[in-house]
Amino acid sequence: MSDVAQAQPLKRRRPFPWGRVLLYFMLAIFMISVLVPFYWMLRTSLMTFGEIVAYPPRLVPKDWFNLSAYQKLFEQMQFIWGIRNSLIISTIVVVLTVTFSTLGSYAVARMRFPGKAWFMRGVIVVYMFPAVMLMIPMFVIMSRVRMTGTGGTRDVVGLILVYLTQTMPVAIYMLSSYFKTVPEEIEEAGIIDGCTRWSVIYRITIPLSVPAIASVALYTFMIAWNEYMFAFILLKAKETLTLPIAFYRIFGQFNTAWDMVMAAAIVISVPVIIAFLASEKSFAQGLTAGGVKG
Amino acid sequence: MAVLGQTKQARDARLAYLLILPTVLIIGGLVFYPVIYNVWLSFHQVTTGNLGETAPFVGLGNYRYVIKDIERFLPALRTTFVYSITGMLLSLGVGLIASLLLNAKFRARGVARGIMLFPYAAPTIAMAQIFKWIVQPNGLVNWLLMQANIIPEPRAWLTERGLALPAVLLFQTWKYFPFCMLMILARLQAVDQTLYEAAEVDGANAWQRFLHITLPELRYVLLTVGLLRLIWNFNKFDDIWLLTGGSSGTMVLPVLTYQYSFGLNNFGWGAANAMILALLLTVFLYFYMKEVVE
Repeated sequence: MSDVAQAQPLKRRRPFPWGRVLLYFMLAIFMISVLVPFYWMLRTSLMTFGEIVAYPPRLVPKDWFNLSAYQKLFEQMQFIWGIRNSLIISTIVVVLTVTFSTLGSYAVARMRFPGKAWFMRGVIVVYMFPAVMLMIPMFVIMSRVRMTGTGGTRDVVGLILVYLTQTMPVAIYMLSSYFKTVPEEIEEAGIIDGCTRWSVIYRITIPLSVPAIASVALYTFMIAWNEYMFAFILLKAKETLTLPIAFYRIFGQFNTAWDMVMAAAIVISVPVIIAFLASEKSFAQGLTAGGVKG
Repeated sequence: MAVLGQTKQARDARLAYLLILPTVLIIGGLVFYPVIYNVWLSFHQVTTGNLGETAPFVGLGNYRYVIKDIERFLPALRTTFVYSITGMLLSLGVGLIASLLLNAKFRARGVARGIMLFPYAAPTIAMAQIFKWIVQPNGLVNWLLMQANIIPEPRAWLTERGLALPAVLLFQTWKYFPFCMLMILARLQAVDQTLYEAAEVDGANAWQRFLHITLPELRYVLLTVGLLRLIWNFNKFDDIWLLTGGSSGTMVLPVLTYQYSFGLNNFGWGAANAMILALLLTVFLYFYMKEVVE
């Protein structure tokens, strides 16, 4: 091949595509380092105890359909409760965040009012604000108003309130920058036609922003579903634990049931990975402005 | 006319306040109030025993205790800086490389991009468990490194002093580079392509194009993302807590805040520790607001 290439006139010679080779080589490294841990998680979840402790490690499970770890996992009441609680809490957080942030973002994007700059500055500061700063005061406050340590619904309500502080700033940031891209003329036409502000929001702005609102909803879901620290501090009773905490409780510091741990890791990861991939594309524009917390 | 215009404006402003009211209540009541309360806590002796009662005022006592806590506070302060700065540089560097790769045209680019987001989207608890599993003494990493003759015998990556911090840093790079990648990629795709064409006509090679076009265009986003990662690493609780619990030379200030409060049952120390964290953070936030937001 290279002889042929050299025989051709210099000008038309195509150099060896070092750039392409380097590109694919680097991509391969990235894919391997991201996927191997995930593969290892899947593979372990499908193995028997004997296969797991085998040395040297077996690369593939004997039986790809050995779901006994999943079966054992779903026999754990705590795990089922965790899924239930995480679903309920995340859904409520999503509904509240989407409702409040749509209203607030509309005001920021479309209306003029004294103090708007301060409001936005406050939102940014809170967005950047480290959750760990809230750990102690939130625990003490919640203990005093008896919204932690009661072992019942009150704890869950307290946790939902705390989650709103984590989701609202991002949601306002993402939505207000999206609302600004909706042409104002469409809304003005609505107002001329006799619509009130409320019906403009309800009939024009919201329907036009469905993709952005959906992204915010999915992203909010991900924050609430993944959150560990506040749930760890505020929830104590095993019936109220969210999935990450139930996970941590079931498989404490010392355990050998790695097949179940990995099965649990898969069950907890798959929904959010899907949610994130579904939402990530449509907020790519707002990303550089707003960003994502993590 | 003027009067009419003003009343309309006033009505608009009233509506705007109504729209932002839920957000203001959430941010004010659940972020600003607790933060101020944290200041109060840091000057009082609050323990698990007197959470619901009036706590004695101790002035700067808590701060004095924390700063003089040579065994815990000072090493944690050092580790926090090492962890957050090194972690920021690593995730930013790896994220930059990943974004440059994904900015090239190749088949299945969307798939590659989606896969790279996995570690970032999945819950920390699940990722931490996988990581623990693969770096176990008889786990995948040790086995591979021994096969490659890099280490003679298995190492305990998360419990050996001197190894634990690099291991935790590796984990945070793996988990957070996709965040940097997403933000940088969004900016990369907005770079004016004619700049590259012009440079190519002028005979600039790939490296020169990167140095003189791409990097200057990315300066702003690299600064933003770098600061964000620095701030968030500085305050990370979950990752280190779940991987090492702060042992083996990985104790950082956020985990120490937890230890003071819930391990040693002294919320005053915890609050004072969090205040010191906040003061250091204010410096970062100040730069962020000055460089990025204004």
